[in-house]
Amino acid sequence: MPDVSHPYDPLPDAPKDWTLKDALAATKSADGHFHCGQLEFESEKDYKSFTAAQIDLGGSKEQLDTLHYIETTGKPPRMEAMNPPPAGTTVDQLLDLGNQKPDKAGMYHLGSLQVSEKDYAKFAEVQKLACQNPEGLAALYHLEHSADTPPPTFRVTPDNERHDNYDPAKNRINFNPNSAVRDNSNGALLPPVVAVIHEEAHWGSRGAVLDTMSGIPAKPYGEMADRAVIEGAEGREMQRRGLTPRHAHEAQMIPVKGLESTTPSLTMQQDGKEREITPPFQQSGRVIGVKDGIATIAVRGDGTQPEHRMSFKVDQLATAMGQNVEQAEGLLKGAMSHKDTVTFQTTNDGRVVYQNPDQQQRIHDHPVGNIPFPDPMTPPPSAAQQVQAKTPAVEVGGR
Amino acid sequence: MNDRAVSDLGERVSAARPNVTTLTVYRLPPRLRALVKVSAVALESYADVQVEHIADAATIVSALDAIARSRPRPAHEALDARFGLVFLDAAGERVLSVYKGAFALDGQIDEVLCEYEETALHAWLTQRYGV
Repeated sequence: MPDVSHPYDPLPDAPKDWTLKDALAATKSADGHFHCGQLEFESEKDYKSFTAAQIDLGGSKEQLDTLHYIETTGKPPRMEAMNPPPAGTTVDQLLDLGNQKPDKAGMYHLGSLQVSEKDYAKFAEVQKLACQNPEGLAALYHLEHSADTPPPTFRVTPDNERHDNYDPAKNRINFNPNSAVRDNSNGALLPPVVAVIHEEAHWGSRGAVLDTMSGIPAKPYGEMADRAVIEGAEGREMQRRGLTPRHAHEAQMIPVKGLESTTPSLTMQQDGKEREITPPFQQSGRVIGVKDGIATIAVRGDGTQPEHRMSFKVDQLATAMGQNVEQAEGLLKGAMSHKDTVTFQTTNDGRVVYQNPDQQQRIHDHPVGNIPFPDPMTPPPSAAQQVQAKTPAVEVGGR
Repeated sequence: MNDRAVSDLGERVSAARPNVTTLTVYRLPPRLRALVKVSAVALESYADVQVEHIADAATIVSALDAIARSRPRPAHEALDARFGLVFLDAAGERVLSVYKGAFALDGQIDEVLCEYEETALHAWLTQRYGV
């Protein structure tokens, strides 16, 4: 555990006669929810999980202070920056490998921090950006001066693992340089570099306060521990960049090119070649295949170009459409089963507007009840498709 | 799969039962901090996901029984997946996929989000993995 970082504001003392039993006492409301002060649990099982976890922690003073704060305010303690590094510390010093060769496992050792030879270039690139924020510099310094066992590791994930996280069991930060985050609740877009600040904050905030907050729901932020980081280090970095902070943990990973980019990238396969789609782009055609994450569209020849096929990665397309993968796949499969002609049109900021006028016509013709299917063997549309069918065009993700 | 199928989970389990030969359990390590909620699709691609392949018939039956006793209803809130139970047939094809989230109620059956009214599945996972 880093003994040089103090990520949370000092908490006020809980009342002296306030015990763990008081902290775990709950009332049950008419909707079946359990309440411990301002903490709310939607089910008895969630409440029981909470009590079991808190009893396991043993009832230390820090735990009680944290619980008292959360139960009286309904929010996590404010997360502060880690202590700054010694004056004059620069990111170049912290990234300097000297004459170091990777060890037998292919790892470089930057003090206590391990980074593989394969990941080092991208790691250094993103750290130079993250360390423009003094909080980023402090985090990197502490990662390199940690007494942790196992020592911290920074890993760059490949695109088939399009996610970022911190795994305390392995003490490993996983970072995907080609993924931004879109909070669909408020349109906030987080460039990849912000994920580094976020995950490093999770690393630096371990201890009794974090242990106490783990597993306590904090909708829509996920858990209290997530809310502390989203509103803390991540929120400050977003503010520093002049970007809208997100308000929800339920968000979408979107493919981008560039560590500071929030513009979705969309590629397509045409004639066996992959190419980046750049606005303006508009194509209409029939969906003829949705399989293994690839959607294939047949585009009819129109005199200016012959009939041809285009293939899109469904996850990229979903992102650009502002849908999750399952929703987009449902739309595309529905269009395929109906043999609809669909249109994809990019906006100037890289979003994709998807239109299915054939589907609109069916809804117009059959405003109530089930939409008839051409093939009795075709499964009915999913709930997501039915909801989507009420929307004439998908256009999500504006700034 | 539609909403009705979610409420007929017992029937789905009964239909799947004769074909299931193996169970693959995907589990995110406790306290792993993800940048965003983890969808069922993303769960299996996680670098640090723990995978357990189970061929023991008694364990598989106990999992199926627990699922059959879990009464779900459709929900629309995105899952924060922590567990995935993927039942496979002899050819390695998926027969049934059931997911559980970070909290007792949330889950997913195949691609349909659900909320468990009775969570025998939660109890099974708790007993086996101590969550």
